[in-house]
Amino acid sequence: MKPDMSMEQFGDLAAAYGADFEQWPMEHQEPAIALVAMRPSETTELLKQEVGLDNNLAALPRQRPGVDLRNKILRSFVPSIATDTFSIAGLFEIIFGRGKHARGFAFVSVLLLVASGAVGGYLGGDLLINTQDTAVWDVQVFYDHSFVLEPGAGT
Amino acid sequence: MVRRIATGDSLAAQQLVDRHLDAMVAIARHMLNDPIEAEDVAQEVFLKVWVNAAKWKPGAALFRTWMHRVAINLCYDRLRKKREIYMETLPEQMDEDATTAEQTVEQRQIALQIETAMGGLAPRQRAALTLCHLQEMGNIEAASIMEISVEALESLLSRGRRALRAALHEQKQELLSK
Repeated sequence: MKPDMSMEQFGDLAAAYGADFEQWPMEHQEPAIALVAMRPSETTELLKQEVGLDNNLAALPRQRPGVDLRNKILRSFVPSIATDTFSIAGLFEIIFGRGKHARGFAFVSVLLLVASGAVGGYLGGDLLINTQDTAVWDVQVFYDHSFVLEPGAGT
Repeated sequence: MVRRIATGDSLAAQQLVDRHLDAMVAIARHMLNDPIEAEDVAQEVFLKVWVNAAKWKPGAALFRTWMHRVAINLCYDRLRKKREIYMETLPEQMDEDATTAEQTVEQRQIALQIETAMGGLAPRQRAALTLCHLQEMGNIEAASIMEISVEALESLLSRGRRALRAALHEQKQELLSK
């Protein structure tokens, strides 16, 4: 029976991924095992060359970051940096948080905002009219006043 | 999670740091062979995350892949700068390295030999070995991080392993001859 993998391909994969088949791409694992079963001495000879280097690489110390680094990174997280695109939904999320209740609060507050805007607009309109009336009255008073000063009036 | 970070959710930021900080430090440590620089790189990666989270479009690539790519590229930049400095201060550096190696215990000595050998590899070979052998990442993701094909990655891996084996063999011969 002809194997699915050639010795050359086996050698190339061992040279790239090492002796541990678990590190090989999934699609090559089964054919590699089949080839080892068919040609054990040649394949294990190739794998032996890679085992030493695999062990050396596994012996490299793994550096664990300190708590200080974690805290320093988290301190550098400023929400204002992250939010460089503005959205109404994002603003509500910042004010009210997330979740069903938060959405309820947000909805009620929008209603109150719209209602207060409408009332404010109505009252504001009234005030504007009053101001105009006052202005007209002021002008009338101004023109009712005599420009000719009566004798002794300025003293 | 990235969307939450973009809206300023500090809990999401915390989760992201807890999930990826170890890997970022490990990659930079193996690439640069310097624990302090490795932490600086990790910090820079997360700063880039905070700034770019809002611009992130899901679907283009995995966020994890993007983070690893940023880390590798930051390491390339530092290696490039280091090489420029190294060329200017070569004799002193070599003496210091030799003294340090003599003072270490056996296990540390082996690790140091490998680290030194790794340091002698081309940056791209080092990146390929770091991602596939030390981070145990799949070949497709590693190739995507390095923005190369799987075939190119495999070629980098075999050349890197061959060079590493040769360097270690050379070191062993030197030690035996002393």
